[in-house]
Amino acid sequence: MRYKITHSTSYSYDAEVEGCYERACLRPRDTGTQQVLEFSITASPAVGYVETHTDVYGNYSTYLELPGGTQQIEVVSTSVVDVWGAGDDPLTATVAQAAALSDRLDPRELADFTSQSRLVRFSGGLRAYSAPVLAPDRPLAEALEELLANIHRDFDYRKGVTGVGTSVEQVLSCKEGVCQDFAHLFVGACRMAGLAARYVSGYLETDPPPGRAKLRGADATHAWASVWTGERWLDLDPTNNKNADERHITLAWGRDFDDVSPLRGIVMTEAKHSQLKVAVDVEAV
Amino acid sequence: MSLQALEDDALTRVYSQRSDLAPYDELVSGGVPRPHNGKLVEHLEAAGSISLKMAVAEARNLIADGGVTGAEAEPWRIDPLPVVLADWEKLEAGLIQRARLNDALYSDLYGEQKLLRRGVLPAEAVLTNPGYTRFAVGGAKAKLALSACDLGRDADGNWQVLASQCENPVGMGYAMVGRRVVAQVFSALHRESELRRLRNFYHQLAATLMEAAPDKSENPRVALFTAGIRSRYGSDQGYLATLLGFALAEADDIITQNGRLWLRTGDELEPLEVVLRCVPSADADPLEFSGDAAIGVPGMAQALRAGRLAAANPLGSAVLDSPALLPYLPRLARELLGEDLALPSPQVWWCFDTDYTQTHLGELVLREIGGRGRVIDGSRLTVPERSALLDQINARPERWCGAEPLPLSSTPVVAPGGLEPRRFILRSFQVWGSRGYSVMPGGFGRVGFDPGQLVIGVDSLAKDVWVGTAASSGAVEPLESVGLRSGHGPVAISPRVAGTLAAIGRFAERASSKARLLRRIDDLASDYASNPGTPGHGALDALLAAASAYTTLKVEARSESEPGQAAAAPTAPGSEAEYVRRVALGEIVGGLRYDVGRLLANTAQVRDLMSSDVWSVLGRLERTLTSADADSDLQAVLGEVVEALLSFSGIHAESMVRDSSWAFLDAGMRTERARFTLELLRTSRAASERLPKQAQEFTAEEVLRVADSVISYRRRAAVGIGPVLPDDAELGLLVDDTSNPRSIAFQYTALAFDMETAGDRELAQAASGLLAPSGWDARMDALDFFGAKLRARHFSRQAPRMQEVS
Repeated sequence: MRYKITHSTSYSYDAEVEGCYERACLRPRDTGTQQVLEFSITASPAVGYVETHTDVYGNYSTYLELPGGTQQIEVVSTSVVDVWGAGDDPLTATVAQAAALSDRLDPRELADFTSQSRLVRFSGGLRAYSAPVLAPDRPLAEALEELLANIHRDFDYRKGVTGVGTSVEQVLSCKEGVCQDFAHLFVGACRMAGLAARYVSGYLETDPPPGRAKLRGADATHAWASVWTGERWLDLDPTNNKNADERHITLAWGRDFDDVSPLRGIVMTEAKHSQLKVAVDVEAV
Repeated sequence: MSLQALEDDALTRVYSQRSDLAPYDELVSGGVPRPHNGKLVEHLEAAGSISLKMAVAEARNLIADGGVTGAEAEPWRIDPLPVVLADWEKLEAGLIQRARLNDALYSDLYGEQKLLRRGVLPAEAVLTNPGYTRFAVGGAKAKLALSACDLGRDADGNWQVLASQCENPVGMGYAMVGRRVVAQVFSALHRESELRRLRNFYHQLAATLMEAAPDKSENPRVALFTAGIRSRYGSDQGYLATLLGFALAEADDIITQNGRLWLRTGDELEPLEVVLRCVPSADADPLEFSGDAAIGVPGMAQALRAGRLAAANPLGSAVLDSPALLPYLPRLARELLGEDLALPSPQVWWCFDTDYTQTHLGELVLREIGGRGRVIDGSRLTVPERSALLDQINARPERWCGAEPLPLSSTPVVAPGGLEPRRFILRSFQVWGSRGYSVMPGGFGRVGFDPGQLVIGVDSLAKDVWVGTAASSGAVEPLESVGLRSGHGPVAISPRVAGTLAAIGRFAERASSKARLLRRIDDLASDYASNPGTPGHGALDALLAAASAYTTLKVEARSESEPGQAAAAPTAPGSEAEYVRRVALGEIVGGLRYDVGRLLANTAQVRDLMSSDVWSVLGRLERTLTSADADSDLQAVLGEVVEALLSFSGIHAESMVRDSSWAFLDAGMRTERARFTLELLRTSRAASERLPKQAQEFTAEEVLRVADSVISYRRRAAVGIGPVLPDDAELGLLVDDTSNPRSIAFQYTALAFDMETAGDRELAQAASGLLAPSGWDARMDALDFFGAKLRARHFSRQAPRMQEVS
């Protein structure tokens, strides 16, 4: 599939902005299942300074300076990406075998993706929830499938309950959240079982409700998990209880949301309030 | 021989026989002084215990006069007895190797990462450390300009490295403070001892920082990047800035534009090329790291990564300080340097690797990785504390290490009963230079608070550490050749600093004006308070009205009556004296103590710009006010306040270069003096308006006294060149007379000069026209308007930072 993705983030303030610094993780990376054909980033007010590097995980990371003098800031990125689905070679390993095979990874990846991170902490609650499912001698495929299904069954998708700093422990207790929370939960469960798992930030192409035309900006940023099977990284989407496929477009991956937040900024302003609006369009072209 | 001398003779002997000495004592061995301590012991015995106690007090006073504070603005403390080291040469070589190892390790961990990829170093030991800064990986190559570590001795007296301290090596300023204090307290001993001097270290550091400038520019701008009043050890940083000759810069003083950092000065930006980073990496840039947004500079990390800014130390050097790396250092020394590690470290068990620590908590020293970097003596924990700590360790085992405790060496401190042993730790600093790393000869020594204390933090009692020239390897005194590049140019100052300087001038003047006014009120009250209807009573009322307008503190017993009619109103006996006491000594906004407090707090923020004499004057001022209580003679207290503030303004007038720093301090002083004089005239005139002529003249003379101009008036009246009536003289002398340094016109002339000096023509012109409006109220409005413009043009802070994540 070829997609054109338009991702706009706008903030409005109740006072003038003197200046603004942004860190963007908005340029999709090339992976085994996708290739990026075009990318651009623009802003209003016009970008004063921009610089991009690749981070320790190989993601594109962009530094932006925007001048002040307005009460509104908007950052728009546009990407054209070819995505093809991963082959589904059957998984033969057990959970324990896959965990043992994580020594095939670079030691740095192994350490980062099997350890706790700020937003993915180990806890008794997480162990109680996930250990029976990810028992060492269970076949990996079956165990992961059940974990996906359980999360889908036990947690309600609801916006506004959780935020960018919500911990796995909080999600476990409130039983609701958004894709980012479920991805953290899934990643944490895998890591506690000794599996290497990473957090993936990206987009998902969505269908309009039956019989209705697709609305502009109706898509959203998305997040899911990627687990090391001993042979390869397998992307799983706990929010939708399925494997990631050619409708999932990868932006970046890391230990958790903090490593790959799509856009974060420091805004110099006397304003007391700001209003955020994110609009994403994933358009098949 | 006298009894005192007999006792004194025994000081060292008694000490040497104590049962609580460490296996290795710095002063004595086998009951007799170590040979290299001969001179020290001789002085010590000659001085005797009473002189030693006086030395403690003298050290304390010197520190107070120097305004040197420890954590949380507590007075910094040092024991006056120096620790003399004889085995320096070998230690120095080991420290240089340690610095080279730290540098090589930094360079690999933030560069190629061969050690991690090849498994020489377990990746977890680095990657789970919160000090490991992923953002810095793969950036511009950065040199570790500074390396530092804490050292202690083992039972055999051999030095071991307890921990590296590269991220934020506190103590480089304190080390020099300690040396200066001890050199003064034991001046004879210091003079006779041939010591290696500390100053080369600072010269080298300054040179290294300038060399680090990215574009190799001729005259790079270097600043100490500090969290200002949020810094726990601001005093150490301020002192270091002075020693290095670089300015302190806080987040508000710096702005990022086009990927570069700039110092904000009055109306332009100056490129900032190098920072001595006294802010932890995690707080240095709120865009990249989750630390305190008010402390950091957004864009700083990007500028560092891209090599447009250099930092000492570079971002992420905290990873080097992790105790979890200690077990690997012998291997790393062979791998990275091809050498055997010269200085060992105590055995360490990383809780992520093994649960040895968890099962031996009571026998180990616990070291936290990241977080607050706590160091805890397991043997001193209570049972509940131990189990609470165990829970923390089990939740995040990768964040904790257990270390075998070293006995450390003991060294004497002056205690009430003579000499008492304390365990001793030395923080050593190494600085990079064209000839490789060199070591500060000595360092920042500390001892515990009780004889058995083995965990000795930065906040403990300090010790000056002496290294004799005999112990020098000879090749490391490159004073001349290190020479600072000159031509630094006048330092332009930031709006924050300008505003702080103006506040210093303002509060000094305000306190001084209040003290003068209160002194007269107190005097008049004792003579006239109980004589309503007399001219003196009228004058008292007028001054009270001026005081309540100027301080915004009302005279309670008179609150019901109009100030001008007070003569007719009943007055509670003694209420005037009570009022004076309240304004002078009360802990209230508007009171004298408050103003002096603000003066001290503001001065502490720009300590690098203040003459060292200022501190002893301010110290005296503070002591005067703190020691004053209900029984103190108020006239004496106020007199001392006025005198101290006169010395303060004297220092400011006599020893500050007439640059923009001076100009803003002066402007603060001038605007305040003008405001006070305007208020004094306006209110006292209104108050005495309806009084008989005689009372009006009495009042006018009192006003002249408050404004310190009564002598000029008398002299002029006597020779017939000034008005004979004081209320006319008042107007002449205090308003228009540009030859009277207390007149309003004089303040405005000075203010215009200040503004010229600060490069602001427009405000200079505005200052010259401040007396043009007629009427007190209009003049006061003009002055307020000027003040607002001054603030807007020169003291404006950056807008607060709002953090956004999506």
